[in-house]
Amino acid sequence: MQKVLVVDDSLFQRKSICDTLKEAGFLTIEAGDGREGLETARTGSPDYILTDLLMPVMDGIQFLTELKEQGFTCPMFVLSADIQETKRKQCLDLGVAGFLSKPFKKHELIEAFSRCTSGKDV
Amino acid sequence: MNLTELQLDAFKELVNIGVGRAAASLNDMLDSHIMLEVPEVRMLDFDDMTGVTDNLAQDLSCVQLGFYGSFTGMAALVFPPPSAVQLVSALTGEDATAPGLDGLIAGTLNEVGNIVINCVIGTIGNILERPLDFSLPNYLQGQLGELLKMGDDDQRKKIILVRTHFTVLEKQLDGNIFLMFEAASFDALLLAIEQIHAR
Repeated sequence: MQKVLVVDDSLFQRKSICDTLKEAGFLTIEAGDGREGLETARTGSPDYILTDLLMPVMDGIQFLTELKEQGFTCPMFVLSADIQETKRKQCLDLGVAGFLSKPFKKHELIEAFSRCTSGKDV
Repeated sequence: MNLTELQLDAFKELVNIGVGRAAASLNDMLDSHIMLEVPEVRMLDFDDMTGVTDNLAQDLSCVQLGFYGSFTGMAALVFPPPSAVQLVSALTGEDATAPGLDGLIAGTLNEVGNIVINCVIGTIGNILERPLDFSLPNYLQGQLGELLKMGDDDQRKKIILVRTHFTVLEKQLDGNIFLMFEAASFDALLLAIEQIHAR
């Protein structure tokens, strides 16, 4: 089973995301901000990472930048309420495999991961 | 600063698009139709909230989010407490009378506010091609005048206030979206609107 690290400061949102991914056959591990996400990425060896952007302690952009600098190469996804094109571009420039908007639709989230697992871009 | 009819119309249209997008998000979250009223736009001194707060005198539940960049202000999603409870119940699946629901309200409403407000302000930023940053969402309870405070020097501020009331009949809840733009940064907003219209 493939493992997804879900990083979001909202417990409600993390539960919704994890429930959806579990239904689709993924294992999930969780973190509440970018700093906790880095630690969990190191210890949990996820196959994919899905992160929010606006979070306390360490935001999503800094988290993605740190992951890149620390050599993590697994596909990374962003799920954010920030729908600005500039933010999307900033994330794509950081090499994310997909940028999804909140509130997410279950089928869109699953499709994003499915496309990635079959080697296609999201 | 006085707004021309054209500037006001362009601004209202921008807000309409943003609020429409926010309603679509709420619709997705609740799977229910969202009835929107036409946004009311007023320019006023911050300490003259009379008329805005009159019919919302009770304690309210609120998520506020600051935005800054090319223009600065604060947005708030405001609910009467029974509506806040209904909303959290609808989203979490917990019974509205369950004792544990109180513990879920702040976290859940923060996330709802984050999504809805980002939709409104983010859409405006996208259309005007002006990137904006957001503060973390902040859940508060209290009187509206207190909830809408932006900072210590509010009394000296002139603001553009936008208020949109919405109703979700199926879930028996209603609320308001408030947008407050600092008038000092409103020139930049109007300039951006004019640049987009001139294309």
